[in-house]
Amino acid sequence: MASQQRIPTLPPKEALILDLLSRESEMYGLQMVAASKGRLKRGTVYVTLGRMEEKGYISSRLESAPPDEGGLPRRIYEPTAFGRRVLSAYAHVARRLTPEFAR
Amino acid sequence: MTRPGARLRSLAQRVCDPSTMERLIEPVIADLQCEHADALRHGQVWRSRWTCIVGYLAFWKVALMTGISSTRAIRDWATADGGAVGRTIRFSGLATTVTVGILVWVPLHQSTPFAVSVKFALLSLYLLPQALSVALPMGLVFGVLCGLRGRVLKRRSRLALTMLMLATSVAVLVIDGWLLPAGNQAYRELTFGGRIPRGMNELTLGELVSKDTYQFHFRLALACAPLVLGLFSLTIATARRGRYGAPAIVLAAAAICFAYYTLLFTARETAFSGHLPAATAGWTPNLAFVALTLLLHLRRRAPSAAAPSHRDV
Repeated sequence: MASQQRIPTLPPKEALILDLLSRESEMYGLQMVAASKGRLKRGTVYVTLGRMEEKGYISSRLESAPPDEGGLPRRIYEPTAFGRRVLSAYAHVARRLTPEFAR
Repeated sequence: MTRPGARLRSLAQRVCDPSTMERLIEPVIADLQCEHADALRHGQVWRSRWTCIVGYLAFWKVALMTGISSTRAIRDWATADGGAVGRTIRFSGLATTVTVGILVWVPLHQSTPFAVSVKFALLSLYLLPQALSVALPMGLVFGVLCGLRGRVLKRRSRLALTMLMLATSVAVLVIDGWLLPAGNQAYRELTFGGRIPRGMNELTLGELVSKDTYQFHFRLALACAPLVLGLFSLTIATARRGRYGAPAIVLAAAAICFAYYTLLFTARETAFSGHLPAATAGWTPNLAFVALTLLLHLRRRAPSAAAPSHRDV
């Protein structure tokens, strides 16, 4: 119960991932690394994604068919409704708190 | 052909839980395999190699971060079976420290009067390898017998303890083979006050091969002592599940160590008098304790198959 009442936090990397996912609807880890233009690293992206999944911001599934025979299927991530709400609240607060000249 | 990351995946599977594998390790390897296959499809050999390097680095970074965050899993492992592994490590550490203290202090106290000086500190340091060489196997015996008192072990804990014994044996091999001769020689030269030629005890394991067969086998056998004595103690500790008092356990541990070292020095005397080949003499105590361990195993299995004792219930 206490965990439900806790205000959700959104560190910058998680905000970036949610932002990328809300634009593309679903992506896999390496796509996010490429789209982030260096802000996400391939060594840490999955740790962040795992943490976000635990928080309920995103959900994941394995891609239906491996792109080539025998390889491991890639994990595809998409934002949950809760994740979208947290992102929009975060964006709203950020807009309010950021001075006009910094936008 | 093995896909890149397949071996790393099977390695991780042995260490990580299924959830970590699914959420962290497999996505990294899947990315690596897809990128690698894509590069090969386009005939870009160098890009495929670069992908492997970057992918492996990413894997180890994830593994490191997972390792840091899974200290709770290690704690769970150490507290399994009534904290058997954790208790054994603590008791072994304590017994080893006490034994090292005694084995350093006694010879030092007899040869050099105590003084707060660099020389005294250096002499203590040089005595450490020979003290550790004896203290580590003894500490392990005490640790196993005291730590496992009245505990029923699962396979995982037994394996962990066997790994601990093996690691201690490797440490003793390094100490006996290289650190002890160097420490001995440095101690002698510091006490003498100048350079002196090395004796047999100051030769490394590699140098002993051609010069003294008995010493060579003796040191190798001593390196196996933690594993041999540890497994013997483990068999005793798990065979008798009743809760024995601390004095009885300390006495049993002391008796095991005394028996081992008595056998070792008796075998050495027999080898020196020419009644036993050097190699056989060096390994005699280990062979005797391995035989005893096997005997105890067989005896423990035999009655439980026929009629389970009330202790097993």
